[in-house]
Amino acid sequence: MGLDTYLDELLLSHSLFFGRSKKPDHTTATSTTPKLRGVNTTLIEDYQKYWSEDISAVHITDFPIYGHRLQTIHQRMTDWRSLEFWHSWNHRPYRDSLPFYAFRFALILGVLSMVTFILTITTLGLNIRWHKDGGESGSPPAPTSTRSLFYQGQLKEEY
Amino acid sequence: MRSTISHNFRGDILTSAGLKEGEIEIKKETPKASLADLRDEFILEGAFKMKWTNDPLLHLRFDETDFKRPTLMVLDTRTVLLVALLDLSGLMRFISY
Repeated sequence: MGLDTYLDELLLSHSLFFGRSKKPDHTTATSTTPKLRGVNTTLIEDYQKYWSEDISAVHITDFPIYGHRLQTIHQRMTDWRSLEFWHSWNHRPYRDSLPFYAFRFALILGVLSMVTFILTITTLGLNIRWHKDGGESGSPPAPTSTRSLFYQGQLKEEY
Repeated sequence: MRSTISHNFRGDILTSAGLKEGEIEIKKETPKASLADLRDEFILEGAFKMKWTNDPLLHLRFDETDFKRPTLMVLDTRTVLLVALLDLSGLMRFISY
């Protein structure tokens, strides 16, 4: 059995990677806008039009020569997990994306909670200082989140 | 039928085509992998990078220089057309698995 599918597999692999990018209007899933620069779209379009069958029907068994490499790529994509914090934030895993979005959501919540906590502590400190000074230098510098402390200050002035 | 191509010449052709001897052995198991996600758009949205190569041996292989973000190498169009001559010459038909 010869390697007579060699050229076909080469062109089919190009067509597989670059001939299925979605158009900007997302109407069809055929070629035109590959993400990688330098793709010869004319060659891919000609191949899809005249030489190959429906690209969506291609199976890995159509690649007797490059099938093993494609399987390796698929496996690597499945297995990839971020090793660094920054990668966890930046790069979505190819499979099981839920933890990626959960991590982002948790991180945003964590940062917001931390900011709120710091603001509360700062406000509390300012209020304590204002009370220690006798509360005569105007109203305490309290934001709306610590309105209760502000009211306490107001009550003290009134009495 | 005995091959008319010598072992060395066969090896040279395989090297030019970017293939290794063991790589094209017929596997007992049929490879199972969905090709639906093997799109440049989907790959580049994730962690992997993609890059052109002019070495047929590196086609559809990973460059592990940055092991945290591997680069998938793809044969550039010019080289595809060059190595196409191997196929068009009919030599590949005589290379047995």
